[in-house]
Amino acid sequence: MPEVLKKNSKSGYFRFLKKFDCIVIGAGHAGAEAAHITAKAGFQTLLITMNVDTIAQMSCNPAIGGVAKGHIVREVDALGGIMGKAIDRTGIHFKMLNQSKGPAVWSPRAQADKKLYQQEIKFFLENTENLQILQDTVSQIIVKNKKVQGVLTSRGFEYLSNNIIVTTGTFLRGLIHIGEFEFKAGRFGDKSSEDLSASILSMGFPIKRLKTGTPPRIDGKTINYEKTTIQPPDNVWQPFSYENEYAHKKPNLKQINCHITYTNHKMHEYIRKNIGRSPLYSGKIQSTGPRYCPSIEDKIVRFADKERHQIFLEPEGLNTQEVYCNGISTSLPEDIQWKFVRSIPALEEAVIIRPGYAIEYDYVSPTELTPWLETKKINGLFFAGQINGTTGYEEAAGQGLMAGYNVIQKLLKKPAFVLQRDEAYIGVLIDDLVTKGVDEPYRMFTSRAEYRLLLRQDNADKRLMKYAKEIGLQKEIFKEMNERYKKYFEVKKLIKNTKTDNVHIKKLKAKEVEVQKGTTIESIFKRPQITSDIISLIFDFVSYKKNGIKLSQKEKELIAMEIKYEGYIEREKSKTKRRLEADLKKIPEKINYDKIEGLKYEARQKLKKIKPLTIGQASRISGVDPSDIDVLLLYMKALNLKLKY
Amino acid sequence: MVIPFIEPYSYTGEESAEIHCHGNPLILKNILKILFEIGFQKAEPGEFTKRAYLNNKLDLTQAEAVKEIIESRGEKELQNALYLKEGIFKKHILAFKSKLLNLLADLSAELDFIDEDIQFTSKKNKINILNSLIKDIKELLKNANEMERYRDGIEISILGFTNVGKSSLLNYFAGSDRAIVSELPGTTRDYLEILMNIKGMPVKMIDTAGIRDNAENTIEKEGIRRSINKAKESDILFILLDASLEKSKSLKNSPLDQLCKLAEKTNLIIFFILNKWDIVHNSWKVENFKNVVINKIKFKNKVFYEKTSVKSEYGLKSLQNNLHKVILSISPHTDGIMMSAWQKEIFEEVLVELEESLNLILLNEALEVIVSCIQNSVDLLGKLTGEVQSEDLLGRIFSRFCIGK
Repeated sequence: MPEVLKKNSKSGYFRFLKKFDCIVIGAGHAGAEAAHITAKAGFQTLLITMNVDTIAQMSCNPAIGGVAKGHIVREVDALGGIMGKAIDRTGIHFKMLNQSKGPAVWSPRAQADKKLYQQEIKFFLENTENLQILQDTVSQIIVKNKKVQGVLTSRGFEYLSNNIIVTTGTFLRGLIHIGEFEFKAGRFGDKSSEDLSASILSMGFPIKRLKTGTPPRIDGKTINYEKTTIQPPDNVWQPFSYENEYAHKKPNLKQINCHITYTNHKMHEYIRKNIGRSPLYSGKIQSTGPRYCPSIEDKIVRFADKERHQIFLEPEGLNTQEVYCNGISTSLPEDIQWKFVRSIPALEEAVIIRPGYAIEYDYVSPTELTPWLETKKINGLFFAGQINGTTGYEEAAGQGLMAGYNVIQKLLKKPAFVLQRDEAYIGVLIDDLVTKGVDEPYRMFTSRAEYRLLLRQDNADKRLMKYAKEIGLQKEIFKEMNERYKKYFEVKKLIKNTKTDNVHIKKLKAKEVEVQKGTTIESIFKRPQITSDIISLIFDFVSYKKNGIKLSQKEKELIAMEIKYEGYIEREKSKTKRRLEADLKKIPEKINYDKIEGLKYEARQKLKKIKPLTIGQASRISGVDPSDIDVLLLYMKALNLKLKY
Repeated sequence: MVIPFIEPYSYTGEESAEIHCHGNPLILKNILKILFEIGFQKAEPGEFTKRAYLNNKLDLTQAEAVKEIIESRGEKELQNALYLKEGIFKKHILAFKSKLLNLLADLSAELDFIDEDIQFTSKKNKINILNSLIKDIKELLKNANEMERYRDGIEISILGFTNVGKSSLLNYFAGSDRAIVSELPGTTRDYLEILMNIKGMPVKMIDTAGIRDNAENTIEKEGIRRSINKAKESDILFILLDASLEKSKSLKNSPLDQLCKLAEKTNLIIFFILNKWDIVHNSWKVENFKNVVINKIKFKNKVFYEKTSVKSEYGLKSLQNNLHKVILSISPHTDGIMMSAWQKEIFEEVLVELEESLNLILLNEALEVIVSCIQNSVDLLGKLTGEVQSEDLLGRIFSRFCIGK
């Protein structure tokens, strides 16, 4: 029988004889994507998780997507990730948000059947070739000469690889607070990881603390739904995954409603009276929580004049009574939670199944990372997800995927793969992280993207699928994608060349649109108040059907929008050219910032710490002003001259 | 005499030296020649300021202000330039930018926090805010344009038929106020100008070629045409008339008539200077003059009638007093900010963006497109203060709205 393990007589550890191309520590939303993509690209991958039953667990709300986050899921999907596919199979309430605005800010969101989602991802990973899953806890990362060698687990096993992706989420020295009560946990019900932090610290990474929170889960049969407002899902399903979109699939599971209720004055008063018992206010929790996801006690203190706050009652699945109370995340003691929950209309009789809690956890400042998520200090060591100070399943998935891509690039001996800010929200996310660092849990917003008009959720395939194809993924669907955009291109050309005749004029007049003979169809789209009704009428004037082209109403509206806002989109595109110039100007690796005269103190310190790769990145560091960039450019110019002669 | 400046205490922050010498151009030339021979180079325009900027001695708006100081002549203008250097201009931009950012934050919140139970800014309110921002910017530009007059000084043109005493009047001002009578280079210039400083304002007074009613030769005609054109560009017009000619001709159909007509539409301020008043017949009144000479022209601005005799200096004090009053009244407000062409251009671009945003809001167009216009204007303003760092927009949003489920 061939040997699988070898015991080291000195240390007493067992060494797994097979060497892996990549080891992923943690199987949350980042870890799952990372492990899947490296294995899928043909590399031997080991995924180590503390508990196989909690792979891709939704620790907080049972939903995927949302404004900007939904964009990221679409990008992950285009790049060959699994999040979009899993939510499409397990979503129980889909909604395209922001549809009253333009298409650049439409964003898909879905409630998931939480257990099914997890199982779906687990099953996906189990069926991925080249991927080995292991339940164990990593206690140490083995490093030699600033290069990772492998990991050591708490049960005394060594696994070797020169590429390690750390995706530990909130598990590093996680500490849960429920009022005065506190205990070590990675998530309610799961053990925290205590030793790995020390190992990371010993490699020279500064470790800091962040905080986040979650609301109570209550028993659905104790909710009086009659007092709530119903929030139905969309009638027309718009999936996350391009695969399902192209195939015009229908949702897999039954679609159900969400419900909305509101806090009231009585509850606010009660919380205010007991605010001293919140660890956030008693001083027990010092670390920073996210501003955009404040606890209910924070909302009541900071926005004292607001009379009520919205609560979304979100079912956690089809086969459970647990309901997630989105909007009242709290760290107040359980006795207070019972009372304030029952002061909310519709929840007068509510029974809490799991209390809300706050959790503090370790993270490593992402300024320790290169734009391809490898640490600057240790070769082959990648960090992705919440360990980098982000929050959100989608943000985690995006990073996990990019870390995986870069391990692949490294194994293929190809240059690093970095998405640009004008290419993807994932590019914005990672550039922000590694350039600016974080001081609160980082969540994506469309406001963080300076090229918002370009980064639409519908065109993520056009923007990114080519990269998946390069590593041998998405081959089939890539063709379909090309067909689709070719079709759009042709229709647009036809629209440009079609002019109104007398019949058109008459038909348009019936819709109260006045045009003259010979007006281009294109120019009508640029007019204000062209409704979807008029759009479909105008498309009938264009002879695209003769070319065998079929268009859905959604596609017609999209094309009309693109034509309408063409000028604005083009302007953003031209801006990206300027940005590209700066991002192509590489800063020499061995530049000595101490030698550059004229740099401001703060700028010098920041540049030394962040070591930007390009002038573009340098210019995005806070504290580095245009004058510092000028000085840097002058210095580089002088350096170049010296090199020449 | 040579004064060395040790770094970083010089203007540029680098080691430098000043050479002071006798003003003789020949000596100057020789010194420069020697310096160039031993390897010194001529500074490019604005190089010292650029170096000061690169060495963090000045920020961008301050650097612009230095240019103004170099170019400024009048005391008031200098004062204004000093304000600029102190960063008043920057304060103005920042105040404006802050308002703009609040609007941007409100609109961005509407894009990103759809699920929140937030009362977003109403359409009416957005329109009001944009209108007020547009008004602010127009005001800034208007004031800047007014201030622009400073740079070239307030211009007074003296016009009149030949032999009415234009040159004497000019000489009077040249002698009484601190003034420089300049001989302008070039042979085509057929008018004289003096530079004065009145109430802290640089004032340029121009003596144009005399106008004759029926000029015959082409050269003279050309001269008259130029005089009229010059006068059109001025701020104040002195129309000098010989009041002693009993049958003062009506201005009608004379070249001066065109100017008076112009004054109906433009902001030209006109002084009718009725010279040689001392030898006028007693019965002759200003009223008669108005009726006969000016002929029902309706002036947009206040028109002054000055009875003078340049020869005996009769009435000149009164003329001078009125002139001072007028200059004070047309001097720009002290809170006006002078801008360089570059700065003005940026503000004009911002104006275009804001007007477009307003239009898009009125048409109920896609919000993210409106936001892109407003973001653009914020970026443009960033160019003025030298910050391109994206503002903490989210910070603004979170402080204004209760966000988070």
